[in-house]
Amino acid sequence: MSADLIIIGTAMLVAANCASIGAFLVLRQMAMMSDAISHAVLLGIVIAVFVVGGRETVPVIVGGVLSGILTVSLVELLYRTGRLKKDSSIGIVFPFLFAIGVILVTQAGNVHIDAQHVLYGSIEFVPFDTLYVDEINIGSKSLWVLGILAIANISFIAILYKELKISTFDASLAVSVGMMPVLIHYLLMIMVATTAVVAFESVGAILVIAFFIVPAAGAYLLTDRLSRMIVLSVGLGIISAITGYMLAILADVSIAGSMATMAGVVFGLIWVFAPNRGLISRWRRISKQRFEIDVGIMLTHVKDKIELHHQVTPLSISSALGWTFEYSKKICEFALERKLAGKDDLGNLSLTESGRKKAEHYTAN
Amino acid sequence: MMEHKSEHRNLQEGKVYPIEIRNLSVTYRTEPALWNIDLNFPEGNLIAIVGPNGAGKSTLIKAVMGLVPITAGKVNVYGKSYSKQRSKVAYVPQRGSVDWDFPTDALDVVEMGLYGKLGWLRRPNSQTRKKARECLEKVGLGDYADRQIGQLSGGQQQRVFVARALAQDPQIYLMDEPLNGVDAITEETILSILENLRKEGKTIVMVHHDLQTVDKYFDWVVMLNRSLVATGPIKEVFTKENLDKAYQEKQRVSIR
Amino acid sequence: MVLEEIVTIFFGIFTDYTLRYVALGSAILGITSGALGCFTVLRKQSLFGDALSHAALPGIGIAYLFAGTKDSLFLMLGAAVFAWFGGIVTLGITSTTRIKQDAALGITLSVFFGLGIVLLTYLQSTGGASQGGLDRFLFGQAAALIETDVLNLGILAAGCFVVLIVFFKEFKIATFDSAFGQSLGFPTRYLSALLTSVIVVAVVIGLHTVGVVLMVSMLITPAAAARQWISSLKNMLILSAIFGGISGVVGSMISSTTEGMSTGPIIVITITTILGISLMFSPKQGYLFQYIRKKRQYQNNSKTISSISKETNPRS
Repeated sequence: MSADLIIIGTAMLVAANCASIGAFLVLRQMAMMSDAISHAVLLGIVIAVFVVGGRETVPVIVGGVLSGILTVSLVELLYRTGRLKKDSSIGIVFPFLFAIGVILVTQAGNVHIDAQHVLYGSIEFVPFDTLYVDEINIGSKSLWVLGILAIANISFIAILYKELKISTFDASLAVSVGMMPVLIHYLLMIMVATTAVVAFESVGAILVIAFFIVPAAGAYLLTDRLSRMIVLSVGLGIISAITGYMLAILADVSIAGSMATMAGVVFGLIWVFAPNRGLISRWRRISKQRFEIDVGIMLTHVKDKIELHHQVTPLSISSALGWTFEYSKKICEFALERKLAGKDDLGNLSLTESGRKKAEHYTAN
Repeated sequence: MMEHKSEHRNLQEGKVYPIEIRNLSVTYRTEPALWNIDLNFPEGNLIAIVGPNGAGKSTLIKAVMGLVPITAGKVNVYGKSYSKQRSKVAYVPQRGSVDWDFPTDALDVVEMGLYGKLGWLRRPNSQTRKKARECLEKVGLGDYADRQIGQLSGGQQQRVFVARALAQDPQIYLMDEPLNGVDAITEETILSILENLRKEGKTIVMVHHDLQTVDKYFDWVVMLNRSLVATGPIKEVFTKENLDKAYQEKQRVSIR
Repeated sequence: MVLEEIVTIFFGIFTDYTLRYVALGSAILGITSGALGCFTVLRKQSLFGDALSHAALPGIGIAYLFAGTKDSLFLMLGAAVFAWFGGIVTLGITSTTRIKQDAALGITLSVFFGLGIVLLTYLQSTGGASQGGLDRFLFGQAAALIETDVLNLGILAAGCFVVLIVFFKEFKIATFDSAFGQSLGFPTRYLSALLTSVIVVAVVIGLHTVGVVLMVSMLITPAAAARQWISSLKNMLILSAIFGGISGVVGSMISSTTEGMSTGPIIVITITTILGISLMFSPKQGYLFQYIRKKRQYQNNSKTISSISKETNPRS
């Protein structure tokens, strides 16, 4: 397998793994908590490497998961004192654990992790890390590990799908049907920690959040269905990985950084152009709705004035309602076009039958 | 029907009212919160604003102060725009709108009522502190001046808010559910203060949640359900007929 | 032996030329972020500072790309502009989509950081930035501070404090009860933006000594620690600034004993330790005193219970 393919494959698997879990993180508002866990796994990794004397996969994962649990526990501890808010607790715990990890990394001589590697991984070196079983080269270690993780993630999501879904959208319902949402919560955090540890190799401790959150957030703007959101999330993650890789090769820059950047570009495009939820369609819809309401306001006003035997013109409307004369004219012209109102030769407005009905509809007074 | 309405809207031409509201509509995003409100608040009255949830009661007083954007219509305070008359109006927001864990004491909160008079550059001084203390005494919390606000009971917190408004020496008080969830002492204290203010000719507008006490405490009522249902003296307007109209489920303004 | 080292370092602040600036720069960071961090915490925007600081990274890279030199002021301008931009993006996402604040923060910080890393590696590969050049902003390198740097930081910090003092009551009311503040005529939205800008300046100062990744701790921890002891805003700001300053100086001094060590991590560990001590030992609030009080109460209660039962059951 060519080196490029191994790297791209790794990138895609990292993105896919993270994005699938990420869908739940976005929905459960656990984005920053996962950011904290991803930072803190560094500490677990460093200690594991130190204890075991090398970078064996299993101990490293165990170390990462333990530090993930430590993070969650410390945050809960601080938060439950009632002295600190949850956000603050997160922002206090993870830099602390991360700082300890960084110091151990730079100071402990026999832990061979490069400081830069901590921040953005070294996916570039992944093809050189091959796995040997009984002296037979069975291929890239990272692809194997990520592949197994993918199976674990897919199983987790598939087996616990119902529980995850209900506990995400309606925690009290989950409790009442005996689903133990607290357990689900902790299992999810363990999956986050595990995924973060495995991804650490490729993208470091900080960018992994880009793959957890950004594709999932984009998917959240594209669909209302959980199953679709997960699939879209993975798809967007893979697109970010591939385009990121291409950008990195072109510009000779960090692959992980490009992947995160492209994830952002993809999100940006969705943010602006998504049907219904995107900025453009939202702006159009809101303008239209505002205009309709103003028409309704004008009709109600005209109805009232007519019943008091006052005369109404676009000018009087503009002064009574505080609108500009141009806007007032525009609203009136719209009403005239739609046959909601009529105008006599002097410019006085009146309501048609349908206009009256519409005005009455607004206030069943 | 319409003749009744114009009476009850209290629309007398030529007179200057503390607050005049003309053709007021407020929409949040695309939901109408207030629709075509036309009314005057009479001076020297204790006025209740009542209506079901979502009727726009808080929105009405916020709109008077320009705290929410107005979609249509205008508001005048003593004939001029609100921004020119700020010093004449004091706002008592809902208790829940504030984080009571904030590091500050009761005296400090009351003193904040004087920040408007201090303006941008002047700092709180012994005079403002003295005035704040006096207002705290008026609400019966003189001994609580350096108590952390987080340690005060709900009723005490409410009284601190009232003291803050008193410090502003306004003509008009706009209060959002100040009697909601407070103890008996607080309720008595606040009501007796408001009674005195009314005797001095001040105007008090209060969003009130408890229909049972409306005719006991107030002179004038505004009944709201997004649009104006009725307004006028309690004896005339606070009738079963109007209550039914206000609290009807179907009575909702909607966009269709 | 250790004592000797500590004493040497301590006096070194005053005598040693470089150490003096290291300590000064770190103190400036600590004081500024300690004071302004009080507002981020009180505004419930603790993690917002994380997004701001991560967003600053590409700003530094782009400034370097354009300026070519490591002119500290220009880099800081780039950092400030991008941090501000990051803040706007975060607010934009939460106000125009259904995405909640936590995810918006995650998006901003990770994407901007990724962009920053891309620029960093680009500059490294084109030989522009030397190894110890721009990556010192990742974890902070107080040892790299020179006189002009410290001067610039000092001026920025002074500016922050002038704004803070002039607008203190306005910031206070805008944070505590912004609706009421607005009713008094204060433009709370603009005040809020001004406060964010000052916080951005604090972040930019902090990038030198604590770095992009760990900056968030300096905006939260000193304030949280001060809150355990103090219950007035003004004094909380002062104590928080003191805590921040101390951790800055102590942290940078300890890290200066080891060659090439980043200053950020040690500063963070120091301030978190101060927080731990505050949580345990502060009077009234601290755990130690609460524990002692509870124990005493338990003893009193047992005595009362046993004396009552003796009265009612004289035979027992």
